[in-house]
Amino acid sequence: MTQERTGAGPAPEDESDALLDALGRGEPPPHDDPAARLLAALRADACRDGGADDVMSTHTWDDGVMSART
Amino acid sequence: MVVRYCRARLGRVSGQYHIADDVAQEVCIAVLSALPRYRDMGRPFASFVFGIASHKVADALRSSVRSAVPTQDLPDGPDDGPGPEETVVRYIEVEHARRLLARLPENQRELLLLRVVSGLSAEETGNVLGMSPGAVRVAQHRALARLRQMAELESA
Repeated sequence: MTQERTGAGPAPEDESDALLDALGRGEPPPHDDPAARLLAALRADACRDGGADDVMSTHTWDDGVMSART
Repeated sequence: MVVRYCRARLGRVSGQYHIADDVAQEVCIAVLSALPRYRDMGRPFASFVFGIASHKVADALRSSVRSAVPTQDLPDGPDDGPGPEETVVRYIEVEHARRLLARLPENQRELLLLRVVSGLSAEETGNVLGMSPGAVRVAQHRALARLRQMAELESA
């Protein structure tokens, strides 16, 4: 069952999607969002000591697979 | 990305990520071994890699053999890293995140880790988990809402 949205702003699902995209890029979390702060802390910790951000994206992986085939 | 994913799923043992990093190495070896059998089915290569990573992490969790953990040699010079207080605060926050995530259904937990820690898009995450991008967006919104609710309840 779907409900028709009457508000002018983005759908809550779209806001969550944008927030997770930003956190996934390593952007700082909104300070008033405890869940985002915890997820950002977990990501930052996993990035320390050798787990630093990759220069490569998953698109680069796909490009590598394609070029290896040609 | 694979290292971060394994670290987030497996956590630290004795303050170190040695076991998670070993599993990440196993994932890389397994990906290389499976590469000759890889067939492009129109899905991103990341779904192939994280599918393997997910199985390797599950294997590690099942065995949960905590063997001897090597420790680093004592440094000769001063440590440039964060001080004890900052380290403890960070540790508490990360353990808090891990504890709350453990209370989410496995699919939601996996989804949030792939999106945030590994940095996959909703579409890529859907390919790994066998979900449509739309289903990922709904599930991740619910997972975030649940995580917020738990975090707020604990801080109240």
